[in-house]
Amino acid sequence: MIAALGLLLGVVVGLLVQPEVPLGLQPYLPIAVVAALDAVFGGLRAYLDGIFDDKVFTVSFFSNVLIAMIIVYLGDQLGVGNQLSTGVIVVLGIRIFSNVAAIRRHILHA
Amino acid sequence: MADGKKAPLKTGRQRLLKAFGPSVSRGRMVVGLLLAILGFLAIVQIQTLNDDTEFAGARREDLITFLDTLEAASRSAQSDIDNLEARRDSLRDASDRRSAAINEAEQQADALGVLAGTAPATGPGVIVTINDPGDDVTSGTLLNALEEMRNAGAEAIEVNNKVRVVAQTSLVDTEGGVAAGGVELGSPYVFEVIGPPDDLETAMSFPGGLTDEVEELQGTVAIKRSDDINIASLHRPETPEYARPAD
Repeated sequence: MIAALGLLLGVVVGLLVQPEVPLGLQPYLPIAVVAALDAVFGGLRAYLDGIFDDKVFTVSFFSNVLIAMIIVYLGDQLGVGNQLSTGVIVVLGIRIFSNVAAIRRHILHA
Repeated sequence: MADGKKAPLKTGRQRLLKAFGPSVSRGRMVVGLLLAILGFLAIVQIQTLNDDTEFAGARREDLITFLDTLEAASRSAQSDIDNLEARRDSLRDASDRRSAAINEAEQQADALGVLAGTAPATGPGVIVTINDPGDDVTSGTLLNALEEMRNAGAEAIEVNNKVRVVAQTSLVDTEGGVAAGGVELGSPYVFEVIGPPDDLETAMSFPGGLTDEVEELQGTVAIKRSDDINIASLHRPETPEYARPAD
């Protein structure tokens, strides 16, 4: 309930404020969003498994985002930013799919 | 799994339903906050992509490649422009030269038309009227008169508003007077002459000239200067039968 309201609140604030993203952060924002999405699906799965812990969720949320951005930043410095960001997106995508599959099994028993 | 289903709140579905309940706890607040951050970041990213162009999220190397491509395209477009402009200029020059040549040819044709009697003419000059009550004036007298006019610089001559006098115009004596270029004319003979008025007037009236000659034949000569003589009758040119242009 509060989670859904929080998501809605974030969207509304983003629409109302319309902040300008700093140029240096622009390549990392999409990666950060996907990493956060991965953490959220991981948290939902843990919740359905009955092993959810808010501290673990918070740490995994921020560390996911931070590590994804660091990897991409490092890739940019090494000149392989494109390839590394693709790699990060692929890995996170696979994790999201496997988490969603587990969630589906919990909810639909299928 | 079977144990989980029996115990309350042990299945995923039951936990999910409970999560939509109204209770508030620290864990839920944290989750709500993190999801708010996620929603905010996601919407900011989406809007960044929407408002700016497609390049907002692109990385430096891609932009450089793109810029190079654009520069090459712009260079080739610029060289196309240069080529086309050069071509346009050369066509314009050619057309200018052509129209200048056409203008010059038209002016020349007009000037020649006045001299050849094929174009109407207007300008200053004199009107010479020869009255000949006794019908004594002959073609020879009129020919002398024409020669005097030509000597004085006449450029276009018309007789009795009917005959345009040109190089081919013949003068022949007839019963009632003189035929000029095949047209019968009678007294009075009115010569409309375009040329320098002073010279023409002098040429008509010097002692022993036309005036004296006509007066000897009991006729009179009236000379009137005019700034605006209009000659409308035309000589119809014939294609030369024997003579042809020599290069």
